[in-house]
Amino acid sequence: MTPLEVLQMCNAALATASTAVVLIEKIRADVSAGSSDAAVTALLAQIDSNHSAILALLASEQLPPPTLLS
Amino acid sequence: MKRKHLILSLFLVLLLVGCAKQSPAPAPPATPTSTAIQSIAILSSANLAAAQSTVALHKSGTVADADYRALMSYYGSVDMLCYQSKTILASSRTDAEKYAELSVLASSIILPKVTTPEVQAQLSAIAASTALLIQSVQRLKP
Repeated sequence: MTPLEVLQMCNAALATASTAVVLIEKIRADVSAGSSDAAVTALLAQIDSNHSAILALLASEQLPPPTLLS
Repeated sequence: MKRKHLILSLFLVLLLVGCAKQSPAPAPPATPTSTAIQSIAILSSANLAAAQSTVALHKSGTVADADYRALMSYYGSVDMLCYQSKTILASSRTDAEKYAELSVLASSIILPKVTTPEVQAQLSAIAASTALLIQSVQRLKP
């Protein structure tokens, strides 16, 4: 086997390993995506935004606003 | 030739170790509170989408007035469930206190009896999201 062939084989193995690492990191990120402070803050902001949108929708349809749940 | 292979392999190992060390720190594990907040966000978005769709269906004449009012009232209640639940979860209460309050809130929502089939899919999505929320709230139980 020539040095070039060895280098090509190593390069292919490295590319495969790199792809595997990237995939594992993505899966880990997806699983933990909702738990980081930034992710939770974004979710809370989304809930607030949806709440404002519902209130605006009800007001535009001249319907009464929702009341607090007991 | 063997020496060159050895040097190349050593270089490769060092490169891989270097890449592994540069990996970002792992994200924190999901907590019952963060999971519940995720569930609320899903429910809140499904609820908003359903409300917007129902408004459009009412404007097109597909949803009758009586059904429309009942549905919009329901969406408002679900929204308040999400909003109040979010406030509780974001507070510094203990998991047990959050569980007690959220259980009461979740049980106060009543699904309206609507015959319009076009709305049934929307209501099913909300029901599924509500079930997911209730499941995540159960994880707060002491």
